[in-house]
Amino acid sequence: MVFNTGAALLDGIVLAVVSRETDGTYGYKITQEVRTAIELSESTLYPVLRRLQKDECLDVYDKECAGRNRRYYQVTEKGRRQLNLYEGEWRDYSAKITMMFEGGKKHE
Amino acid sequence: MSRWEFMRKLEELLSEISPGEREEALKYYNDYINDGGKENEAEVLESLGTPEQVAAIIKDGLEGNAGEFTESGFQSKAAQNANPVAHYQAPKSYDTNKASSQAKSGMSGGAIAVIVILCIIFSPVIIALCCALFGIMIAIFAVLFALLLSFGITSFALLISGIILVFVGLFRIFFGPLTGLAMVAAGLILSGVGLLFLLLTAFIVMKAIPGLFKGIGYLFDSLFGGKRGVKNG
Repeated sequence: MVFNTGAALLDGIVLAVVSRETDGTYGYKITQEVRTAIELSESTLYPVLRRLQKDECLDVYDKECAGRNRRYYQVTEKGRRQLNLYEGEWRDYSAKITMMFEGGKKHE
Repeated sequence: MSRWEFMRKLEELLSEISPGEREEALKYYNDYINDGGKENEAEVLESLGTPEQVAAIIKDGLEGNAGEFTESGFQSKAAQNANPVAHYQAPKSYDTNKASSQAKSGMSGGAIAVIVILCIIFSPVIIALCCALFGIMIAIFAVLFALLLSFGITSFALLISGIILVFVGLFRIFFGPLTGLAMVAAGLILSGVGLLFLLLTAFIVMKAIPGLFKGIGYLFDSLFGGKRGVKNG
C-alpha cells in the first residue's frame, strides 16, 4: 500500500471490525481481519486495542473456549459513537479524494 | 525459539511496567499464540517478531506513542529501534524498485562517507604528500630551466668564440699560416660543439618540456579525475 494509515483511521478500522461481532471478538481474529485491509505487523495491534479499551471505546471480557479463557473485545456505546464519527469523516474525505481523481480525468 | 521461551523472555522484558499492564499484555500475546493454532505455532511466533520488538511495541503504547504509519503499514518506532532488521515486510507489488535503488544509493553514500573519513584521518599524510609532490615538481622545473639556460649560454658562448676564432685565424693566416690555420680549426671545432649544444637546447624546448607537462597532466588526471585514482587513494 502506498498510502499511510493514520492513527484515527486505524482506530476506525479496528472499531469497525470489532463492531461487526455483536458478541465481541478476540485479538487474533481482529488482527487477521484488519490485515485484509491494511498492512499491519501481527504484534502491533495490542497497543491500539489497549488504548481503545482505556478510552472506554472497547470492553473486554473473558469467555471460556476450548478449555481456556479467551479475551474478547466488544464495542461500547462510546466506541459506537466514535465509530460513527470516523465513518462520517471517512465518507467525506474519500468522496473528496475520489472527486479529485475522477474530476481531474474528465477535464483532460 | 519456543513458545515458552518467547513468553518468558517477554515477561522478563516487561518487568519494569506495572504488574497490571504486564498481565494484560502477556494474556493478549498468549491468547494470540493459542488462537494462531498449535500447528502454526512457529509461524505465529515468527510473525510476531522477537520478544524485544514486542516488548518495545507494548512499552511504546503505554507511553502514548501511537507509532508511525508508513508506506509499509503501521509501524512502531520502538520496535524498529529494538531490532533494525525489522520483520515488517515491505509491500510486495510496490516498492521493489525503490528498495533496490535505495540500497544502491545507500551503498555509494556509505562508500563516500568512508572515503571522507579516511581523508580526514589521513589528512596530515595526504597534505604532506601533496606538499612533497609539489616540491618535486618545482625542483624538476628548476633543474630543467637551469639546464636550458646553461645549455643555451654554453652553445651561445661556444658559437660566438668559435666564429671569432675563425675570423681571427683567417686574419692571422697572412702573418703566420700555421698559427692561423690552427686557430681557424679550433674555431670550427668550437662552433661545432656550440651547434651540438644548440641542438640539445632545442631538444629540451621542443620535446622535454611538453613531455613533462603531459606527464603532470596525466598525474593530476589519475589523482583527481579518474575513479581508479580515488579508489587507490
